[in-house]
Amino acid sequence: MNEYIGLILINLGIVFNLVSCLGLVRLPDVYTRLQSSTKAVTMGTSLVLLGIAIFTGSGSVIAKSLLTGFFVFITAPTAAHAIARSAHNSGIRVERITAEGLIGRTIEYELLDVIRVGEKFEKDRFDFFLETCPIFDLEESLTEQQLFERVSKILAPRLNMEPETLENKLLDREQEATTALAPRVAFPHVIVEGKNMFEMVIFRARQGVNFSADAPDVKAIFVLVGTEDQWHFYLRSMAALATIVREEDFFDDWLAAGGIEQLHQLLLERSRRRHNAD
Amino acid sequence: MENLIYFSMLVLLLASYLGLYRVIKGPTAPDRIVAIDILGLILVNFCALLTVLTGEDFYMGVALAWALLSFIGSIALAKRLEGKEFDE
Repeated sequence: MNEYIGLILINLGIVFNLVSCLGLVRLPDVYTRLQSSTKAVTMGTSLVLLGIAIFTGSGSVIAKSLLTGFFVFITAPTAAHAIARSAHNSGIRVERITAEGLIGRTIEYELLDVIRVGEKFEKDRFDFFLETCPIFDLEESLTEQQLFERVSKILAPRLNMEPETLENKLLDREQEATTALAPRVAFPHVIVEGKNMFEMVIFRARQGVNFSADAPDVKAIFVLVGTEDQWHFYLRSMAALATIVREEDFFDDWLAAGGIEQLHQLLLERSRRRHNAD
Repeated sequence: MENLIYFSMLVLLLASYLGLYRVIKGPTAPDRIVAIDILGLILVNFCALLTVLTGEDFYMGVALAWALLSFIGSIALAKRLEGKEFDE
């Protein structure tokens, strides 16, 4: 009878072990792998050792197997904890598990929110705009005018304006003085009529947009359109963007980012740094 | 009865191959450390089953020693990964 109980326990333990190794292969990142493997292997090993203790029934084997099981029960979770902490400290990120099409960018925002709560960081209005404003990744190389045409199509409905009016305003503003404030970044901005409106739209141009002779290859374009009463916020946004863009490695990250979502995240992270620096 | 034990060892062998795959494939250092940790515990299982198969109880002593050593190894590797010395 004891033999059968022992065998059942051993085989149950083996199944746990196999499942944990399957998890090691199938799961996407180190944290989930730890999660599946160490817990299941601790359980599996303990079951096997318990099963052997019952199966053999000889004194010294029982003593040693129970002792081993006891040690495994203590040491395996401890080791898993140490590995998880070191992985976290050495900067390994949590991989996305849900299919991208299903969730958009909510998980990353939730994680960012968790970080913010942890650091007692309050999102200001500018961060809110960074989070929600449309970002476009321009595959093709555009001229300045084509770019403004696009901007107008996107923003005019939100501002209750005709696209042509907005486009002309942007072009006029550009002619007064170039808005490419640095060789690789431009802030086209105009004040429009109306009340209490502010819109921002961001472009990444890998191919570059020709703004002026000084800035023939603009990679990042931040378009700001606001009404007169938003003047204060308008200036603050410009200042914040300038701080973000001024950092040395900004353009490396900006051009390397994989998609729209990563661009949003990049800007938000940089904006957070700005708050910490204050 | 004996066949069932043999079969269990075969399954463990399969499991250890899966672990080995993760050791080789990576892609990051912690992934490999996790996989090695798990491989150590699979080996403990293996030794324990050998006790049953051969009736020699010193294999259980090997299992005990291996369990403790693999724990120390994992901790050391994890510490090393953090860039700390072992006594920190």
